[in-house]
Order: sequence, then C-alpha cells, then structure tokens
Amino acid sequence: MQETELIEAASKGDLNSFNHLVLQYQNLLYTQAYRMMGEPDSAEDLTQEAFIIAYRKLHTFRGGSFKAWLMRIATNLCYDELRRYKRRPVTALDPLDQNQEEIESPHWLTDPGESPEEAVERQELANAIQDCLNQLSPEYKAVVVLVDFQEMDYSEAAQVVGTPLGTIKSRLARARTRLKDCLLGVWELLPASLRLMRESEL
Amino acid sequence: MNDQINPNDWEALSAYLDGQLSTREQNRLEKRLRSDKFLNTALLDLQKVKTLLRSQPMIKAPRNFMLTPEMVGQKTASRSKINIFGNLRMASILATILFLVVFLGDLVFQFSQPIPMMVAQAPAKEVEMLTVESRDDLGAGSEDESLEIFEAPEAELPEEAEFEAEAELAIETDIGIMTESETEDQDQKGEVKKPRPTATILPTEAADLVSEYPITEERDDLEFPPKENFQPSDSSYPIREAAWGFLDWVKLLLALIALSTGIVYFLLKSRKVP
Repeated sequence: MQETELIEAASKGDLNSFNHLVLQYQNLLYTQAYRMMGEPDSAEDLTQEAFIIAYRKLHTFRGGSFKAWLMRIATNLCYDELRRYKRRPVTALDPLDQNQEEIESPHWLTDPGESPEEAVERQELANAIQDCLNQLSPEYKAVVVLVDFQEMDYSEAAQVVGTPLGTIKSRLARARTRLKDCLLGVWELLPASLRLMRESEL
Repeated sequence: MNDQINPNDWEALSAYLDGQLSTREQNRLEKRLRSDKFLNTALLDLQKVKTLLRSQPMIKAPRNFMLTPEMVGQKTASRSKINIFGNLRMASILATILFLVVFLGDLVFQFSQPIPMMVAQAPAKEVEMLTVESRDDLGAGSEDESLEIFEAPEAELPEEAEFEAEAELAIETDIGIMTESETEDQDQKGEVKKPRPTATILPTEAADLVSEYPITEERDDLEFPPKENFQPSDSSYPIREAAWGFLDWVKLLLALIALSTGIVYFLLKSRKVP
C-alpha cells in the first residue's frame, strides 16, 4: 500500500493504516526527539505524543511531505518541552544515555574549562555529540538535527520548522559553528579519519 | 579563527557545503578560499562536523509506538456509544417480546374463551312465538298438556309459582341465556330485556329436551340443564367473533415494525462482522 493510500485510509479512521506509517517513521521521530531532548524518557513520551497528535490532526494534512509534517509535530513538541524545562530545569542525578547506561561525565558536571585531555575520557562519541547538541538553543538544535542527522534538504527543514529558507541557512551555520567549537573538546573521540585530518592540518 | 571569520562567511561556508549557494556566490567564495587560509580551515572544520553528524546512525526506537484505540480515545467513545445502543437494543428486544406475549395472549384469549351459559328469561311475546314454533315442530295436533302455551305474563304469576314458570319457559323455549345481573335488573326494573343472541339452543333441540323431560306437576327433581344430554356443538356452543378494532391493528403494526427493525439490524450487523 502506498503512503498516500495509507494516509487517506488513516484519515478516515483506519488505525491499522496509520500504524503502518508509525512503523515507517518511528525511528525518525524518535531520533529527532532524542537529539533534541538529550534523554530517552522524554524522547519516548514526545514521540508517542507526536504520533497521537498526528493521528488526531490527520484531517488537517493537506498533502506534500508527510515526513516533514510529522517531523514538524515532533519538533514543535520538543520546542514546548524544552521551554518548559527552561522554566523549571530538572537535572537527573543519574543521567542515562541512549543505551540506558549511566553517563559518567555529563556536560553539566564537567568543568567549563575542560581541556582536550579530560575530554578524551569520554567513552562514547555519541554521548559527546549529544552533549554538544544539548548546548544549542532549541531553534538551532532543530535545524542541525533535521539537516545533518536526518539529512533533509533546506526546503524540507524550512517546512518542518516553519521558517523561511534564509533562516534555516543562518541557523544551520551558527549551529555547525557552535558544534565545531564544542567538539574540539572531545576531538580524541572522533573517528580516526577525521582526527588524522585535523592532525595533518596542524 | 572565529574572530577572523564573520558570521556571513560562516553562513556562506555552511551553505557552500550543502550546495545551497548560487553559481555567482559559489565562484566568489571559491576564489576567496584559494587565497584565505583561515577561511579554508574553517571550511574543513565545518565539513568535518557535518561528516561527523551525518555518520551518526539513526537511533532505533526503544519500543513500538503504534497506536491503540485507547490512546486515541477511539475505543472509549465507540464503547460508550455501543453501551448506550446495546442497552437500548436489549430494552427494545425485551419490550417487543413482552408486547408480543401480551398481544398474542390477548388474541388467544379472545378466540378461545367461551361465553358462559346462564338461565335467562325471554320476553313473553317471544316465548309465545317460540313455544308455538316448538309445538308446530313437534306436531300440531299434539294432545300433550305439557306443551300448552303459557300466556300469563310474569307480573301476573303468583310469587311461589314464578320460579317454576321461569324454569318451564326456559325448558320449553330455551331461547337464550341471561346473566344473573340481567335477571336482577329485570326484577328491579320490572321489564324484560332481550336475551343475548348468542349461545342459544335451537327450538328443535328445545323440543327434544321437552319431550325427554315432560313437565309434570312435581318439578323439583328436574335437572336443568340436563347435563348428560347436553352436547355442545358448533351451533349450540358458539365462539365470540373476534372484533378487530383500530387499536388491535395498531398493536399488530407496532409489533411488526419492532420485529422487522430487529431483524434488519441483526442482518446489517452480521454482514459487517468479517
């Protein structure tokens, strides 16, 4: 069954058809939520909520990219949740990564003046990247996740975020610059090919 | 290095990596990249960041996010609707069954209930006519005194002979039945009502009865009616005609509507179930 047929059936109340779409996009939405929220529990809740909202609001979908429409719902939910966090910050005492393992050196426990030698103690590159992502504002985070993690083009990202193409371009540049600066601290965790590139330049 | 490159350059470099610059902008940037070492290093850094981020695998969802009817409130709504409808449906079925039982019971009762036979007193004139007919049936030249015509009106009879006369008249003519209340009415009003047209015994049978039970002086031993010889037949034991009024037709129509609605619903529902 084609995606358009599934969407049409789901909009008429066929939950099974919608669940086919859920299976198709759940990893994408969960990745987006996890990258933006930085922890699995919120990501799970938001992903589920996004699908529920999508099902209920499916009659408002006017064609175009269903993927972008879904991602927009998830991204907006993440925005709202991050704003809520900002008003009432919550810090888990035992932060877990995506593998449900304890993060030994989350960014809020690290010294701001962390040296590259201390940063190499990080054991997982993914966690380091996530930590850097978490330092971005929600708007920058959303764009860089959409374009660099989800590999969307600018127009799709603009559709998801609901901003003009120029805004996407500038937000992405700033996000990448900040991530570059952040990742310099964990350079030893980078893959050998990238690290060698850097060292050869130095 | 960040200080040496302005935000516009970073944006151009980022867009250049994604191929989002126009040809003119792209040519101008490439020209600068060949001469500006810092700009070139910045481009390489951005490219590494982009490569690093894109190398990250998509995170697999830790569980299935498929929706259930409960999650979207579908089942709750439909269940409440079904419950309401189900209760109404059950109530309507019970009401229909009850209605049919009452209706059919009423019909059966109407068609099967015999009209009770009771002693009645006929008007004097009718008694006379029927007695004459009876005598004619038996034979005009009969000398039997027991078949004499009683012309004496009820009011003229002495009190003690009244009951005997009534019994005699009933046996001789046997024209009909009156209920006790009717008899009482008759006594009270002093007038004779017409006997009910039903449950009559034909004069010929009356004559037979008379011949079997001749009227004598002593009538105390007279058994009335003669049970051993009383054989009810279709004509002598009639059934009341069913008078179908407007309300009966309405009741039947309602019952049929209720039944047909139930059947149609059942058929439609059974078709929906795969």
